[in-house]
Amino acid sequence: MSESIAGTEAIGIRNAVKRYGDFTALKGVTLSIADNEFFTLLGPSGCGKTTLLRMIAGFEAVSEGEIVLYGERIAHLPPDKRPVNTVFQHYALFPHMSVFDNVAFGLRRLRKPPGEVERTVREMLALVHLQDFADRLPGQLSGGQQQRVALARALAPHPQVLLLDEPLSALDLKLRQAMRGELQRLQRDTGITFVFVTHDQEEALAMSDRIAVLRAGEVQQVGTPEDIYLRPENRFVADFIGDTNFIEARVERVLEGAAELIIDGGIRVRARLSHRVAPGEAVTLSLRPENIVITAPGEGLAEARVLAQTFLGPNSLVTLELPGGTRLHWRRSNQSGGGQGLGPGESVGLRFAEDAIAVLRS
Amino acid sequence: MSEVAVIDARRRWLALAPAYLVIGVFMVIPLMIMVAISFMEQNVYGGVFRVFSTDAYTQFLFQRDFDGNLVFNPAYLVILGRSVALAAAATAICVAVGFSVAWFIVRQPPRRRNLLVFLITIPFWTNLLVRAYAWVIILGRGGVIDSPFRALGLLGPDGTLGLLYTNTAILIGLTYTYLPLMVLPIYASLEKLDFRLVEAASDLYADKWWTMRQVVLPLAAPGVIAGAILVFVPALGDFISPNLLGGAKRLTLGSLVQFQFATARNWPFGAAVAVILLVFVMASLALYVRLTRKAGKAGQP
Ligand SMILES: Nc1ncnc2c1ncn2[C@@H]1O[C@H](COP(=O)(O)OP(=O)(O)O)[C@@H](O)[C@H]1O
Ligand SMILES: [Mg+2]
Repeated sequence: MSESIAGTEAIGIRNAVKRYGDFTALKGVTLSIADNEFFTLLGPSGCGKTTLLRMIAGFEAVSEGEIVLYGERIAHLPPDKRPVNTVFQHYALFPHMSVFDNVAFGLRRLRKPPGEVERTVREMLALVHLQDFADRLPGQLSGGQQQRVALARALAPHPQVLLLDEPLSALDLKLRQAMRGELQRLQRDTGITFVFVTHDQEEALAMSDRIAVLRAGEVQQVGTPEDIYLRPENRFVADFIGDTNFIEARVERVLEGAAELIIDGGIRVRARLSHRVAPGEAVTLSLRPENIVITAPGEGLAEARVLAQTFLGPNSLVTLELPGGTRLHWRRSNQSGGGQGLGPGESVGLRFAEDAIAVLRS
Repeated sequence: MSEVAVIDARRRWLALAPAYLVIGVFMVIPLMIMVAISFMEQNVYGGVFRVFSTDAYTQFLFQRDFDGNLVFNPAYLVILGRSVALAAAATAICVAVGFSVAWFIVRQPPRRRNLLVFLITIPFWTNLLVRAYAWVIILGRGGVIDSPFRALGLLGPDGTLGLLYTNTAILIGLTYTYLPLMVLPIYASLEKLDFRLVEAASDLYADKWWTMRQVVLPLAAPGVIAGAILVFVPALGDFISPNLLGGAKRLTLGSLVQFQFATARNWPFGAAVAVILLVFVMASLALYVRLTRKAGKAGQP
């Protein structure tokens, strides 16, 4: 990874390959997850997130590569010998055991004295606001409560790393949003490294210290939510996270960390560079719709014509066309008193916010 | 009760009438006849005299000495004890073996699973008597079990291990006969088991044994209990294994009943033994109900 990581490494995944027969689910994944980090694996369904998580937990053997946990190689260890715990997607609570016994399961296996088991379980149940439910069976709880029992159960043995496989996906929207903050708080309070799996980009952006975007068994980009959203490195990342405009461009001049490019047959723009390009090269740019600034006609960088407008509630998506035929989506705020509407055919001026354009790797 | 409810109740009765009829004709009436016969007097030429008598039950515990006094005779209690012990031992072995077999099957890919379950039922296709005779040949002098020992010169002067006509032979017979009845219900409950729970247990540091004891067994308990009943009840009344493999020397309750009706022509005593057998079966069923109630409560997801 080009990313430098502060602090110790909690998990190192070195060139991990997973093959199922002749299908390769993970094609050489290398990741370094820092101690006390909220790290998210983000990607569309089927990209190998669960497989990677299960390899860390020990449920799947690696076909190639190594997994390092706080400096120790663990790829050969069975799940019960790895100091990591998992919050399963469907919770997998023991249906015949009370909430208390579920949470106590790991502690008892670690042969903690009964007094400590009792104390830790109560503490964990308080942490997830379930102190009054200790004697219930999982079947007597709501989905959200079961989810929190699963969290408490996995946190109770105080693992070095907590693995969470789409733990919020079975909850309804409101609860899901509330749980985002809860999970962040739990991570901060416990100081345990979280590896969180989701296909929901909003969830990933809202909760993570860093995100790894996966696609078809390969890491596409690793970085902070800001990195990933504001500075996507390739077309897949830019497209998967949020909405974006892809703009074809030609490199005019290469500067320090940036480039001057020509778009739409004549408009000169500046963009950040995260990799090397050569003058004259054809590249694709990413521009988020909210980073277009509309000006009075004749005052901006270029003129554009309004083609259509879609109302989306807090904002509207306006389709603009540049003189050379390039179409751009502009996200326009619907804040009250936000000025007059734009009709189709109207002419406007536009420019781009500072630092808003990213040159994508092909 | 409203009128609708009355009609509803009546209708339910009508709908269930055939079931009550079957239970009445094939179960209640024969049982009542059996209980009635057990309280009559023996006719040594077969059949009974319709005179009330508790002789049959007395005979189970006492015998008359030369002076005509009743003295305690433990012989039949020994038979009862042997029957219960053999049935219990067979059940225990069936639980251990049956659970392993069911566990093995359930861990196979689904298609092979169905094939294996099908194979488990194959012994039912052949007559039990034939299969029991097969065991006589296997266990007997010069049988398959003996031959490797003979080849190694390990056999005594009588040329056999002497397995046949022992309690061990009866036990083998009972286990063999009733094992499928154990495998199937355990398999049924293991098949419903969510194997993600096994992963969850190992994630929480449980090794295989701990997972078995804490997660798999409690959740498979209804199947194990059902299997135990399905094996214990018929094993307790079985007379084919005791007669053929025990050499009819070691009586069990089942062979005793069969002997009283077929050979000794003491119907009341045979019926009384059958009633005693029935009481034992009922007691074990009551135990079953209590156990499943507990396991069922726990097994609710
Ligand atoms: N046991 C398996 N056998 C064969 N293919 C599998 C197995 N498990 C997962 N896969 C495949 O590996 C890929 C990645 O799966 P998974 O890690 O579950 O994806 P995700 O969690 O990102 O949705 C998928 O294409 C899936 O079909
Ligand atoms: Mg998944």
